[in-house]
Amino acid sequence: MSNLNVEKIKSESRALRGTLHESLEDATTGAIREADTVVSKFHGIYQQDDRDIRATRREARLEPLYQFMLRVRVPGSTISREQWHALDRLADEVANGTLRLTSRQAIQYHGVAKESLRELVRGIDAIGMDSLAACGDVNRNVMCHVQPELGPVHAEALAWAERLSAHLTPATTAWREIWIDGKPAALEEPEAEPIYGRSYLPRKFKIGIAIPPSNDIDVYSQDIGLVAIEAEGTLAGFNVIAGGGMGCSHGEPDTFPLLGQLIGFIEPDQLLAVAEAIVTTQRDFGDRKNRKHARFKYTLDDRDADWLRTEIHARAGIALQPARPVAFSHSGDRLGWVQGGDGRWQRGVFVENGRLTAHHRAALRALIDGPAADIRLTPNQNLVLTGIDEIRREQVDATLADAGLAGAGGPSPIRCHAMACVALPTCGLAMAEAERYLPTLVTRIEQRAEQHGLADRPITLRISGCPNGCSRPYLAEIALVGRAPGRYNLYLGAAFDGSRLNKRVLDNADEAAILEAIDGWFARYAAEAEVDEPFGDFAVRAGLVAAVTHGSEVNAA
Amino acid sequence: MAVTHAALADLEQQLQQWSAAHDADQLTWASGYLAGVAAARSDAAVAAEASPSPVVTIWYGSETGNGRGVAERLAEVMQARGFSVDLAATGTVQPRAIGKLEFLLLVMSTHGEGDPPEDAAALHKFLMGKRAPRLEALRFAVFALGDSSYPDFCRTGRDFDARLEQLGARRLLDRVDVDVDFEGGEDTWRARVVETLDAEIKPGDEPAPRLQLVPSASDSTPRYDRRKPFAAEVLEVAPLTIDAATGPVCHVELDLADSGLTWQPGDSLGLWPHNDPRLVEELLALTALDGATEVTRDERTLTLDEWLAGKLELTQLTRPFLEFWAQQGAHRQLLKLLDDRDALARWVATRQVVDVVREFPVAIDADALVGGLRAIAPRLYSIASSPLVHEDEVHLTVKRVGGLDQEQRLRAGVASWQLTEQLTAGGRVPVYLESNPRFRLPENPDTPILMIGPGTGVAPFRAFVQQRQAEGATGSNWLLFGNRNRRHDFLYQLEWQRFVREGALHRLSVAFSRDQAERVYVQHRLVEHGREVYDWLEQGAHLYICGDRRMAEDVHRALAEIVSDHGANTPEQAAEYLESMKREKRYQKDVY
Ligand code: SRM
Ligand SMILES: Cc1cc2nc3c(=O)[nH]c(=O)nc-3n(C[C@H](O)[C@H](O)[C@H](O)COP(=O)(O)OP(=O)(O)OC[C@H]3O[C@@H](n4cnc5c(N)ncnc54)[C@H](O)[C@@H]3O)c2cc1C
Ligand SMILES: Cc1cc2nc3c(=O)[nH]c(=O)nc-3n(C[C@H](O)[C@H](O)[C@H](O)COP(=O)(O)O)c2cc1C
Ligand code: SF4
Repeated sequence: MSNLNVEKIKSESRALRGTLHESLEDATTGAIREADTVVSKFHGIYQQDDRDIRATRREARLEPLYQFMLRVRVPGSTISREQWHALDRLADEVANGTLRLTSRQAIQYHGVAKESLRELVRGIDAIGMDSLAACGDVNRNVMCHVQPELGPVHAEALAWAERLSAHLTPATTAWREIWIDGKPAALEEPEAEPIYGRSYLPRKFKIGIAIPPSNDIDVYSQDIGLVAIEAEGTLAGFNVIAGGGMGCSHGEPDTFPLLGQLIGFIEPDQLLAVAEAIVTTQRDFGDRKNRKHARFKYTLDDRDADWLRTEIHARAGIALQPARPVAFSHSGDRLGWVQGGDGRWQRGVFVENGRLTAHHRAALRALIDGPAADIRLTPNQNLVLTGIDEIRREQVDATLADAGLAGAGGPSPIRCHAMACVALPTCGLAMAEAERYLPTLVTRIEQRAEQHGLADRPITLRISGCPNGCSRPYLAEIALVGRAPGRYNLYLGAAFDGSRLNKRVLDNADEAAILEAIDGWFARYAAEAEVDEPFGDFAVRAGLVAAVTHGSEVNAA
Repeated sequence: MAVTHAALADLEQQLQQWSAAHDADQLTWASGYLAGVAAARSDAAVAAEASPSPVVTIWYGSETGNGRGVAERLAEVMQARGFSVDLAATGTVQPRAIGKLEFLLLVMSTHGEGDPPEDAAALHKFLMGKRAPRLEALRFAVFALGDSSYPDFCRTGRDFDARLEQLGARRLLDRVDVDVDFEGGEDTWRARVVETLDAEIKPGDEPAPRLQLVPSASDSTPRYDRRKPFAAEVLEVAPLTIDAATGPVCHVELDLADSGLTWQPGDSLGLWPHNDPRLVEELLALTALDGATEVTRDERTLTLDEWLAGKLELTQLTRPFLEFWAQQGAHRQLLKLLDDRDALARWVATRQVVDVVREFPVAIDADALVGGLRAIAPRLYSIASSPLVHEDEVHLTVKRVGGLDQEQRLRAGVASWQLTEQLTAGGRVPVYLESNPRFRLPENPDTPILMIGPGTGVAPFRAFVQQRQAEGATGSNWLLFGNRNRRHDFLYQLEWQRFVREGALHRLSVAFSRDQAERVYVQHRLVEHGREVYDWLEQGAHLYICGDRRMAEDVHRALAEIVSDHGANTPEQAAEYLESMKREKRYQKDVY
């Protein structure tokens, strides 16, 4: 769909109402009108189809199996027992029987029929959740490091994440009218959007809060990455990192992933004003002609940090302070057992690809009805069970193991650090498999690692089915990005703590070539690495790949 | 009067010269004048011809064309022999006119559940009613077509035959009932009719020239028909459903190039089916007979294999066969079943010949078996393509009946199984054309049409819409389709969507019965849109219903409700509204 089109659809949507209601009423198709597929995203709803059977259906003169993905915004990424039961039930009642934990602390339903959408939305509304602005050209759910009880500033940071999320949520009541009331209100004039205006943002916008030393949210990949700074046991403020992002397109060198730039430090009570100033700056300066150049990362990359600081000052009257020093030790999630401040335990549960099947769901139902108090979603498609008493730990492990959620001895560090985006069969943009391929690929890489005595080394591995990079692949030490069925670009050399992008080393390669390359690297790594030297850093030091200093080098020859 | 080509060419030349000398108004006047002269002369001619010998009236009540064919062939032969023949479909006659007839040959099929064909309903009602006239002067003979797999075999023909006698008419011949393999019976009956009337009337020796058929130029190509089918090549068989709850539906394309056959939207294709070899094997194994045994029936000798595979009905059970079988084995249970109409109907609904043989074993020889089974009959399928769009092809929309049972034995309808599962591109199948003049697009391209075709009933409407689009017809087209689930069995969904985009389909309404908690069918959608439906009818729309017979009844009731609700009519007025639509040929049905 052309760029102009999207801008026009947004501005004429009457604050995100479009003709969604009419689209839902049309029984002759499982699809919604084309323009409404743009509008629905702002409601957290994507039109998709089952790509596995697209060709078969076309031959049968049937339209594609249109179905919808709905992304639930989970406030504070914390889900209570009652909420979990409701979410879980809906997976069977209106979706494909799975729940998909995402790379941004949300839950997705797949395979929802048009006719079932209202039921699903009403179901999540009933438990105090929504899907408004879960997608679309607005700010998304604000990510925040998970496991808040573990340090004094976590609770504060999480509270700010929620406040910020609420502050940047669109003002329109279209979502409630269409999905809950069942009919858009007959308005003379749609309500005003004080922050966004009639056309919303030029592109999606993402904010996340990291709490060092964990960079689980990949703070450098956010439009606004915030690093919580602790002083004397409380939250002193945030370092502000601006203009990160992953997405790019094959063969289009003007598109590239970028790391955010550190632009300064702010105090907590300046957060809402500063974030709003950055958002409105992007609203006013972002490219509305070319969607492939519309993300905030390009707006900033085309200018510089001083320009942004000036805009913030002009809009919010706030001058940023010099950034505080911080150090990250790792990206990815902390899995396994951790004891909280109250003496109770949390269990980080590895969910391969974030996909909770019926089998997994049954185990989680039992756990949340028994030993666990609530469920937290992580930024890497995993979950955390909290509030577990010491004596119940064994029982929890046994239940998880039975459900295949953590094998005996746990999955290998490589598997635990591996992440794939959804890709086929639901993602309309996928060029190659990702989620469905990851488990076998990891097994093959594990075999190589074992042969070289590297079985216990954590290495980040990420696959995306296309260069949009939903699994944040350009921040992985090894990454595969889909080109065509069975073919990927292979990347190497990002930093383990998420502070350096990787670089393409193989173009359009098949699995054999990919495994061969990895095997060669592992041989060198096993022989030459220094103690505790992360794989990505080694690859750069050993000259296996050049260090990337600007995103435009990631895909350069 | 026979007009030769040469004479016509001569006349045309004269007229051209003459018309060149006159202006348009004068020509218009002259054409009216000439038409008047012609009418006066032909009245005189009819009167003159009618006087010497009495008219033999042939009326037929036919729905799927079999009876019409019988009647037409009879008329042709009788005319050739010099009889004055008046041939008419019962739907086109004034029932009262029966009072004036001398000789009536009534060809009558049975439809529905022992009901008269749509076309004969008015005549049937009139004659069965109290106001039927006495018919002392009438001599008649009834040829009843039916299907012995239905409980009410030839019921309508029997009704007429009995009633005519009751009303005082005298039989020329005893009634003849024929099954779906009616060819032999037809020939015999025709010969006897001619013989009897020869004796009664003694027509002139000279063949009457009244209805001469002008030989057409294409007479050198063989004319294919039911008796002489064309071996059509299968071009494609493709599914139209995915995981359909009620069995798959396929789109079948056949090549009719070089067949000389012509057709119009609304026509059907007849197909002579072939039994699956698995079914033949099962029957041979059950009877312990040798497929190579030669058997003669109706003066034809074929191997048992050949008889069973292509000539005899193995999938439908008929009463005559069950009676025959019960006699063979003296099976008391089966004999009892034959006495219980309802139980029998239920029992046969899911059984085929092999099931009877399995359940009631009989030691039988090949001759008896071949003699006891009914000849296989052709199946009809609505043509789903327009000849303007697919010139030499015929497309069908075929729903598979039955399939493999729990023990993986084949229990499927013979023709639908063959079309959907056995035939592939390159295969051949014997077919013929069954024209249906009672299911036609309006002549006026501006006339709106309302098409109600759930399930495979949608087939002819694909042809309709294709045709109207190809002709650039400007009338609006509204299709009401229904099935179980939009995702699984929305037949031709992409094509309808395309027609909508292209402006060839102006409204598309759907009823998917299982896509929501409550069951919704096309008749419910009709009522929902009642206001618009009524407006369309008031604007002169033609209405078509195709598909399941019971559906058509439900739709009819819905229409009556709409006409009375939105037109402020009493139920009687609404019924008359629809009847008059039928008379104006604005309400047409093709149901099965
Ligand atoms: C579910 C998820 C991947 C996962 O496996 O977890 C996901 C899935 C999709 N992403 Fe994403 N993205 C997801 C995180 C990301 C991330 C990671 C992040 O945000 O930390 C990125 C990279 C960061 C970034 O934004 O630059 C990401 C960059 C994209 C892009 C590329 C944007 C760009 O700037 O070019 C697209 C395509 C687009 O927007 O045009 C995209 C589009 C999509 C869509 C909606 C495809 C579409 O537009 O039709 C995918 C739906 C697939 C499906 O069937 O579910 N997704 N997407 C993640 C949901 C996060 C959430 O809960 O909100
Ligand atoms: C004018 C007209 C138009 C038509 N148009 C179409 C059309 O467009 N598309 C279409 O599909 N059909 C159409 N039909 C119906 C078609 O002619 C056939 O009747 C239909 O395809 C079934 O024929 P068959 O030979 O497959 O089944 P048959 O061999 O006639 O078998 C049917 C018999 O199978 C038995 N049976 C049914 N289900 C089972 C089961 N599950 N297990 C065991 N036995 C079972 C029943 O006893 C039934 O009598 C039309 C009919 C008419 C009269
Ligand atoms: C839907 C349908 C219902 C029928 N019902 C009966 C019936 O009840 N009794 C019967 O003897 N024949 C029945 N028949 C068989 C027809 O009478 C038989 O096919 C006949 O040859 C049709 O003649 P026609 O083409 O002139 O209408 C039925 C046929 C169809 C298609
Ligand atoms: S990376 Fe591409 S293939 Fe994977 S989910 Fe995102 S858009 Fe789809």
